[in-house]
Amino acid sequence: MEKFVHLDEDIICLDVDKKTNEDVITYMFEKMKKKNYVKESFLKAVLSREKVYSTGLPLENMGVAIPHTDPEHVNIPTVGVAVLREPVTFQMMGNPSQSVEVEIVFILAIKDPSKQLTMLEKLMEMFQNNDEMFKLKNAREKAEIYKILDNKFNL
Amino acid sequence: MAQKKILVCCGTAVATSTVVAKKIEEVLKNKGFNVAVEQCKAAEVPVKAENADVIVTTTPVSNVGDVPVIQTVSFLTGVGIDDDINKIIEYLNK
Repeated sequence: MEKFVHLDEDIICLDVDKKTNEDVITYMFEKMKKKNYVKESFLKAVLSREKVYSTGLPLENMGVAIPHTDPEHVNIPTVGVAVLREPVTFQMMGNPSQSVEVEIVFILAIKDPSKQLTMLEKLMEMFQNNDEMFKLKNAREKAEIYKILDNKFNL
Repeated sequence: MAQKKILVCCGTAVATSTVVAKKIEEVLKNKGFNVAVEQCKAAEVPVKAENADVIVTTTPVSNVGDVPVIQTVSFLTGVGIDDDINKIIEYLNK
């Protein structure tokens, strides 16, 4: 069966030490671009979308963000994961006047929303599972995060 | 009960509205509601609003006429989701 999303340890990053959400997004974009998951235009598209439709989500126990953009900027569907050393500020989805201190950033590269629906659903399911989010946040190896996501997305 | 129409929208109709739409459809159908759920971009809302019984959105929308709007991210975060489902049901029963 074709995988819903391509997971890749090269775009799972631990202990990411950046000051702003733009820095995190740019850092992750470079890794994702290098492996051809996204097009050159992805970065600008994500950053400008984030300004208009911010993606910070206050979960029960932590903040996350899901920067993304239109499929035309994506080559191969995937998720880049950045676990941050210190939280960075994102604006809340739907309520940009409110800030969210974000500890994990998931950069979504969506090629076909209907095909990646399962991935998105699983991701939201994970956001609502405090134990899993805690494991992601405290992972010491990329392989731990890979395994959690792979179990979720590609079963 | 006649079929009710729910319009679900987000910034680009790529990620969040897709998930929210599926979730709402699941929950309401399980509760026995006859609903049609359509997703769209926030910018398309003024055109699509007139046929909807309620709008659920993750991002602010305008020019929706009299259609009730529930703006929430609870379907993504899980925080407050039950309250929002009850709100949707309240509007559907009107």
